[in-house]
Amino acid sequence: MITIKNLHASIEGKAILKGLNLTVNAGEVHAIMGPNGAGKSTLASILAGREEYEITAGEIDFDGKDLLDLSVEERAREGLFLAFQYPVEIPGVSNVNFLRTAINEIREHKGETAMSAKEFMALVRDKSALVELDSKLASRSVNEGFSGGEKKRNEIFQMAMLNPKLAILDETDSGLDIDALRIVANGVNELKTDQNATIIITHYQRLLDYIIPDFVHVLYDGRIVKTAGKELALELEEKGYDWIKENKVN
Amino acid sequence: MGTSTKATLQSFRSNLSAAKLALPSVLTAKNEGDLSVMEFPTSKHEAWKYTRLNRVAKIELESNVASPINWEDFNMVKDAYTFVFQNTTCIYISSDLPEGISIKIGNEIGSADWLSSINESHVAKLNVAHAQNGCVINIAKGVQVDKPIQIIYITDGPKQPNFWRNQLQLDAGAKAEVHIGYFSKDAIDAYSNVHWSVFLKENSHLIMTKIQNDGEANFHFSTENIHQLKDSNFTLNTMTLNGAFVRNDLLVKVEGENCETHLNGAYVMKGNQHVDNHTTIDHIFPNCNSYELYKGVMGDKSTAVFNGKVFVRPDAQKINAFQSNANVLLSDDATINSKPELEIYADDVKCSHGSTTGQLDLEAVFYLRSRGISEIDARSMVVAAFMHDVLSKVASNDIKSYIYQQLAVRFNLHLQRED
Ligand SMILES: Nc1ncnc2c1ncn2[C@@H]1O[C@H](COP(=O)(O)OP(=O)(O)OP(=O)(O)O)[C@@H](O)[C@H]1O
Ligand SMILES: [Mg+2]
Repeated sequence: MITIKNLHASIEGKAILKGLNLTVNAGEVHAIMGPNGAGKSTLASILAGREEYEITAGEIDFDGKDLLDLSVEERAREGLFLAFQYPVEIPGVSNVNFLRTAINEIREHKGETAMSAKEFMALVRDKSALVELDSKLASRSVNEGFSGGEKKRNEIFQMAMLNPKLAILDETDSGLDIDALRIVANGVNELKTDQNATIIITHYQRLLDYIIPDFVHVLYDGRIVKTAGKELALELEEKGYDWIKENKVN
Repeated sequence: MGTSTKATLQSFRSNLSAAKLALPSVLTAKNEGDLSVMEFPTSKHEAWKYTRLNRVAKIELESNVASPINWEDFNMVKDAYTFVFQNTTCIYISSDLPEGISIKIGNEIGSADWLSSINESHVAKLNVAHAQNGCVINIAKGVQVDKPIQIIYITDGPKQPNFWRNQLQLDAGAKAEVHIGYFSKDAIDAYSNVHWSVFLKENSHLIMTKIQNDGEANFHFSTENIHQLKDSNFTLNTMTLNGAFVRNDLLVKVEGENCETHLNGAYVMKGNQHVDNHTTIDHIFPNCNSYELYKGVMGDKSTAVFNGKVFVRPDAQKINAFQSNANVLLSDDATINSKPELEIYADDVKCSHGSTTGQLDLEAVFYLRSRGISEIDARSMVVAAFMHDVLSKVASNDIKSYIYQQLAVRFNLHLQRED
């Protein structure tokens, strides 16, 4: 699904990613953990197409396409989705209206016909129920006045609406209460098929109790320095990152 | 006029006909004398500091013979009492006016029909000197007009000068909605100068909406002198959608207690367009509220001026006056000069003003694009969201649809209906 090779990226002359390699196949769930400032959100932003970063080396293949060649919207239309760590508020743009535009632009891109209003409303009902997002929130301005947890839930609602091939969840679990965490995790699990893949960026093992990852990676200082199965998350929870930092030196 | 000759107010006037409307001597007595010694104001004049008139002064105006048109091409409201002016001619009058609305047009208006309302600007004086046509509308006591009144002004032909002078009076307890549209056809370097005197008697209620959608190479000057008596409620929506150069001078005199005044303005500009909104609300009596919201989006090399004066006279206690002007600059070359001027001489008042200018929220644009929306649509959605509150103040759904449609055509701005 996605192959990242030797990715180097910097911002304002400061190197953040320093030779990152990662391969995610269809049907897989990958967790990326790592200390604050390691570059996790940077990786997510670069995948989504944020233009502030300078890619100094490396390549990213997304389902046979050169991802770095695609515009932000083309990536989304090809099936990439980022649930933001800090979703923006956009007063005056209604959640459902913008999603309808998005879905139809994606469909147009794929040469499909536009979704009817009826079909769309049914989808909204369905998917807002999946993440237990109040239908009033679904039709309000994007994230305006939403609580932290509601914003995160809205990200997963959008993911459910857009049904991406590759979803990247950047700390979607932070700020969620226990119930919301289960609901969000349940939503992600429901959406999982052998055709799509998920990258979960998180600091906490807790989420991974609900969404079982196939691989856990440690991103440290701009590189994936360790990859293992789900037991690695438990080990990190227990021991922190210091032992990995020490390992990394050699 | 040779190139070596300096364009002056006198040379500008040389091809203009004298007023055809019969105006009262209180307006005309000093007017010609004043104009003969006047010049176009320069940037040294406070009220014209950021609005240069050289381009206007240089136009050599000439009247055109208007060709027949279908006024419905300019229609904004489905069901209205409509009057249409094409240059100096009134080409359409609704035949089904109900009891309680009287309208006089052109030479039907006698000099005694004009109520006293003086404005000292060169624009207003030119209007007095050259007023060719216009209307005087009276809404009788207690009458609530069942449909909107729509007045359409069409400037037809290059370098066409149009001077329209109008008056609207709502008698006590009357209620009306008036939509005014300024358009043009086959016109470049045309100049229109329109004057409205508006009188709201006790407890009357008026919503006035101006749609300024003149051609991209035309010059438009609009002056409104508003007089509000006690318990009246007045709204003026100034929607500037097109025009090379648009100047609005609004003067609201609140001459009674318990009045409400709403001034809303939206301007969306591109290219080299220039829009200047000068507003004054003069609170003379106590216990009144005024609300002013102007929002603008400026692209390319366009320029905008907002100058909002609020006076609160010494005896005008318990006034609430709110003013806000917010702007989004879409390009580094666009500029806005925004200046609130509060002059408060009473002590028990609540006044606030705010002026903001910013770039488009690029984080929001990125967010929308990351969901699959094209950059152009994402930008348009964010701009539309910014304009949303001021446009939603336009009460008429027909007018709102018209504005949204114009913004879609000219700016690829797609606004979403909430009704
Ligand atoms: N616009 C920027 N200008 C300068 N430095 C930046 C910028 N954006 C990110 N950085 C730096 O890049 C590094 C990586 O940041 P990033 O947000 O990717 O970390 P993270 O792994 O997501 O951390 P966290 O766990 O705290 O979310 C940090 O040191 C951060 O300060
Ligand atoms: Mg982060």
